[in-house]
Parts: sequence; structure tokens; C-alpha cells
Amino acid sequence: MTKGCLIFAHNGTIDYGSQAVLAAGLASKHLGVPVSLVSDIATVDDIKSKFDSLPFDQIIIINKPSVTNYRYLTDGVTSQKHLIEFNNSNRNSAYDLTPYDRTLVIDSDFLIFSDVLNQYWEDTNDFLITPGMYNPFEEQYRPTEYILNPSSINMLWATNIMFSKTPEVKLVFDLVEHIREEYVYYAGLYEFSPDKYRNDFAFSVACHIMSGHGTNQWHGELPVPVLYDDNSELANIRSDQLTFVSKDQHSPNNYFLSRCKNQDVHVLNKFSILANIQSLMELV
Amino acid sequence: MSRGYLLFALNTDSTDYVKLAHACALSIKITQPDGYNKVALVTNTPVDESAFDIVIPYIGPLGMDARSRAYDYTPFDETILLDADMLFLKDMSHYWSLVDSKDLFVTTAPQTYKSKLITNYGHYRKLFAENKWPNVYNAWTYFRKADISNQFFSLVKTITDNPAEFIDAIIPGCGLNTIPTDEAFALALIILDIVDDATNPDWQFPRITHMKPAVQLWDSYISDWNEKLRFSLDTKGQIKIGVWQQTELLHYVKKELITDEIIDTLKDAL
Repeated sequence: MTKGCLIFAHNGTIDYGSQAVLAAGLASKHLGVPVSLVSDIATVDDIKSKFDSLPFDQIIIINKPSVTNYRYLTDGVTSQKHLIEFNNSNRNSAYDLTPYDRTLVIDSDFLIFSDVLNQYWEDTNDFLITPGMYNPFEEQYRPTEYILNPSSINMLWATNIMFSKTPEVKLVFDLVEHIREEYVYYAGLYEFSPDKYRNDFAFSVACHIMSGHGTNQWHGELPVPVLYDDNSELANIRSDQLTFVSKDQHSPNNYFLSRCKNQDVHVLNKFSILANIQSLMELV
Repeated sequence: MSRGYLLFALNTDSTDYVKLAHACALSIKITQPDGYNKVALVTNTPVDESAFDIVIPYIGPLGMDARSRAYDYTPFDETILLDADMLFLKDMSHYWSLVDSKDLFVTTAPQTYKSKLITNYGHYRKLFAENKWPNVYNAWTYFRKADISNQFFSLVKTITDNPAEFIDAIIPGCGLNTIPTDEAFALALIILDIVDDATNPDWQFPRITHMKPAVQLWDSYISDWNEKLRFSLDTKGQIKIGVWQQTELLHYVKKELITDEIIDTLKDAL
């Protein structure tokens, strides 16, 4: 059985390609598995021009998704908001594109600093997904249990997905594609905003349907990682730890410093990753 | 040895309880196998529905406390007393054998429509919480013909028929004028010292999906859950609340849900 990691990256207003190089280097270092990239020609040309060597096992070239989403992203504690473009509506194609029998799909802003995910390669579940994120500053206000809507289903995070190639898992990815195509309908049914396509929501709905509409959980769960939202930014980088400064959203004059050591981290502030890409690449 | 479900349906100006009981009986016929699907209805209204195996005329006080007469009215050796505003969604016949070592058993396992057990007393049960009463729900009560069951229902009847005396003696200043059936059940179990025999919080069955809005773990309170969540019934008699498939005993609370169309759909499913 072959196993490996898969990362999608399509450059837009954000340099997702460089993020993917970093994420791949860290995944390869800490998990010891090959990492492949799914990307478009322009993005691949761009990273080839920026990095002496690329940490990818394979680079799978596809067309950039035609559907582009936009959203505002805060750049750390400055509270400066930027409209960014993201092209990730093709995550459901991971099943067909992966070169591995057992695949870990990660977002390009998911930085792996531990081997915790290695425990799941032999898991009996054919499909595992992250059930939540641990936001250290939001715990008292909003725990790891995120929801699509108070009366609807809990949100799963497509940030990390591990799957094997089986007919049942193929069904899930096909279902995600169907939900993407009929997104407005499912947004109405599951009571979330149809404004922007989100892989998280599509996978959440697909897993809910696969569970017999909530009667028996079908998917397996990956560990809940630490999340630093876009009100946080990297303040210091050392070989074994990242230090973040974060703004308290409930008390704007308060700031927190926190260290994250040997922990996998989901860093939503892409500006901060890219501003520190050289230092971060030294950790690879 | 006969066994069956017992429903009380005493119509009021605002609610057609017979219609609710009819829906409940149909859901029992759809989901429960032969030998476990007998339904007896106690009512003061003429009824001509084949979903009821036995219709028993009711003579006595009106209102919720009619259920205190369950022991007197039941035609069965083993009875499960139900609220009328409930629907069966799966085979629950195995519960009979799980409780048949007992003379009396009252469920304490309510859950939300998302199948989360309601482990605390909750918004509606301040009196239970303050007095640490057993968290019983009379909506599913098993009893067999036995002395202790007879004593229990006699005491429940005494409590509900004489609320002032019990309120003054046990819960003075609670603000109640009557003692609702769940409260009366809890008091009777305590007075007879049979709480541990007749309840078992560790069992977590049978689960009742309780649709009172304030127990749904929502951020804000609304008076009608159906304003927030769709109620859908399919042609096989299966129900979704919002996007959640329901499988446990559904205590839908909102009486207006049971329309003639719902009854017809359940009949077709049967």
C-alpha cells in the first residue's frame, strides 16, 4: 500500500504555491512520507522560479478551477483587511488525482510539526476528517465545536482529510462534487450562507448524508489541531516552536503572546506565513 | 400474558388528542412487530379507527392527570403508558424484555433532536433540580399488574387529585396550583422509596427525543421549534427534523403538526 500527502495550490492574490512548498517540506520532514502537489502551470512555474529545489514526490498539473472565491482576510494584529482570492473548489478531485492508496490531504496553510498524523495511516476508517479546531483564545467563547448553523450540523474541517481508495469513499467525493454543483440548494437545506463555496461545508454535508442523516457517524476523526486565526501573526520562529501574537477579539486592547511547540498548526493568516517564508523554510 | 401500549386522549377545545393518539397508534403499527403492537385508547370521545385495538370509555376528571388512572384502565397485564403526542420510528419491541424483570419502570433518558442526551434537569425542571427529584418522564412508563404498580398509581392519583395538600406539605411556595404528571410520578417514587427500582439513569433508554425548544442547546430561546426546523414525514413514516433523521421515540410537543395529511401519510405507510 502506498501512502503520501497531497496539497492543492493555485496562486491568486496569495502565493499559495510558496505556502505549499513550506507545508510539503514540513509534512515530509515530520511524517516521513512523500508529498505531491496538485497545481496549475502558472503556479508551478512560479515556485520553480522561487525555490532551488521542490520537496514534491509528484507534481500533478491540472487546470486552475474556474470558480474563484473571494473573502476578506485580516493581516494579524494590525486589523488591516485585504480582499483575497482563493481557488480551492476542486478538493473533491483529490480522490481521482492522488497517486497514493492512502492519502492525507492538507491545506497549504497547515504546518506540520509533529508525527501525530502518522498514527492514522493504518486506521480502520477509510475516511477521516478533522472534526474541529482548537483556537486557544476563543475557547471560553467558542469551543472546538463549530457549527454551520445553531439548528444545523456540526462543521467538519477539510483542512485535513485522510482516505483510502474504496468505492464508498469514492461516493463521498462524488457527493461533495454534487453538493458543490447544487451549493445553493444545500445551503438552504443546511442553513448556511451560499455566498462562498467552502470545502468544509461541502464535506460536512456529505458526511452528514453518509451518516444516514445523523443517525450513525460514518467518518473517522483526525486529531483537532491548533488554529491561529487571521487576527494572529507570527512573532518569532525557532527550530521547535512558533510564537504568535494575537489580538483579543472580545477586548480589542488586549493582546496575547503564545508559543506553540511540537504542534501541528493551522495558520489562517497567510500574509504572516509568506512574510516569514524564508525563516520558516529553514525549519524544513 | 397480554402486553400493549396505553394512550389517553381527552379532547379539549384547543387540541384534538384523539387525532394525536391516532397518529401515535399508526406509528406503532408501522414500526412494531406482531405481538408488540397492541394499542388501547382511553377516551371520552367516540372513536372509529382501526389503529386502536381496544377503545375504553373514560369517565373521570379531565386533563393531563387522567394518566394517573392508567393502572385502573389498562386492559393489559404488561403496559407501556405513552403520551399521545409521540411517534414511534423504529422497532422498540426489545425494550419489553429489557424491563420485564421490573414491576414499574419510568424512563429518564430524554435527548435532543441531534441525539444528544439531556443530562441535566433543564430549563423546564427547576422544581426537580431544586429538590433533586428523579428526572422521570412519564411519557414512557412500563408497568405490570403488581402490588407496587397499583400502589404507585394510587398514590399518583391521590397527589394529582389533592394538589394543595401535597404542595403545602412538600413544596410550599413553589407557585403551582396543580401537580403535573411528571412531578407527581417523581413524588410518588420518592414517597414509596422505589426510585432505584423504577428508574435507572445509567440505562439511557428508552430515549425520548424531546422537542421542547429550551432543551435543544440553542443559543436563543424560541417558543416554537418548528419555526427553526422543518418537520418532514416520508412515505414510510420516517421523520426528519431539519436535516436530522429521527429514530428514537419522538415527543414532538407541537400538537398542530398532526394534520389530516399526516394521518393519511401514516395510513399509506401502513
